Amino acid sequence: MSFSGRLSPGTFVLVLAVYLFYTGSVSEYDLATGSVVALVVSLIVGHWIIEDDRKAFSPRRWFYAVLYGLRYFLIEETKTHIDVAKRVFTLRANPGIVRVPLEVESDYGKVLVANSITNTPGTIVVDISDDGKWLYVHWIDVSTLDEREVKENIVAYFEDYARKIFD
Amino acid sequence: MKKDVFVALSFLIAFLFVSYAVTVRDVLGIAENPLRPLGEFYLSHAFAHEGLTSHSPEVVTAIVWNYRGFDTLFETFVFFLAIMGALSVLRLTREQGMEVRALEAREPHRHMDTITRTTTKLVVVMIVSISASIALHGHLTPGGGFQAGSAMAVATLLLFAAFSKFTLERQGLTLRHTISAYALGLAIILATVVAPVLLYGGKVLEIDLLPGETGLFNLDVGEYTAVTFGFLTVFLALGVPEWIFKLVLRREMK
Repeated sequence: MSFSGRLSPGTFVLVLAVYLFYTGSVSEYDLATGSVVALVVSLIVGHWIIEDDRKAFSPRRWFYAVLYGLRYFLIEETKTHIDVAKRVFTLRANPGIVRVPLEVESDYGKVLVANSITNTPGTIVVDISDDGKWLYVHWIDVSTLDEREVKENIVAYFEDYARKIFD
Repeated sequence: MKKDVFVALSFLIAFLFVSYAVTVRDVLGIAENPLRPLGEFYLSHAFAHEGLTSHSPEVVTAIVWNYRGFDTLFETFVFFLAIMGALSVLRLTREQGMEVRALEAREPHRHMDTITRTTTKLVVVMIVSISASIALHGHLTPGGGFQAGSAMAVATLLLFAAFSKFTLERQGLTLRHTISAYALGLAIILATVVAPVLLYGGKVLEIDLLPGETGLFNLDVGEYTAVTFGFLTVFLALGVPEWIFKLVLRREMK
């Protein structure tokens, strides 16, 4: 949190969008008050939440973000839900905690990967190492201990997209 | 485990039964109840083009700050007294304050991991935006100053938990600033309350004399500022670790 005093257009747009979404109307009054609020907030927080505004406005990154959202929620979620549902009835589980190496650089990328893993049934991120290079994941079916295979099984394509979106 | 499931299921069944009885079978007779004269008066006068009106399509805000404005005004004073009480119990002299800060700085710096901090950053900024919209839209849609201030207080609590109180204070959010901002909020409220008397020769809190919705808008903004910074003041005062506080006070005894 640094009071840099420099305005971040990305933060401005984020705050204004949330404001308008929450009020649920786009009248002149809302645009005026929303802009004032967004201006004050983005002046106070500066580049605290968005470090590089060019990234925030890059259409390529937004395209990958939407693509990732669709692919993740429609395909990966369905697959793992079916898998865990089967395990519930067959009681076939071999739980354990494994370590997964992370290659994504930015904080938001790490959060995206970690939350994607937690959100899919069967895997939960327990901790992240202090240098942010390792995730500790509780996995319902520890079929292998080889780091490369573990990563392929758990992280899947999350990290490729995280790097395309945030790095 | 079995007991928990049993309790949860019986709550669910009771809830479904009560809601079915009240809505579908209309046991309480709510559906047949006509609108009472008082309710009709509020609905027709809160937003009218002529005669006495609060200029607000949001009847709840109109009632809270206009029809029963004194009640809300004195609630604000009660809140003020509570905060001043807390501050006078937990007061520190300038030297003691510096001592507390020095001791806090020596505490091992604890922060949560990257995932929590990054998510909190994003969520806090969004909560701030939402709370502002609750306050500034309070006279148009459900919302208002107190609710918005409470939402904002939650945002600061999240910052306290994910980062630390010390981090915030180092960035300039000290007790002195929050008390000043709190006073500013109260000043906005008082100015709006007294304005009808001074400008239009009306009565105290007769805010429908002010042009358009400015009365309700000002009161909402004032309450938003007052509640936000009132809560923050208490959080900052209570956020001092107990052992530090007792250490400093014990020295005063000797």
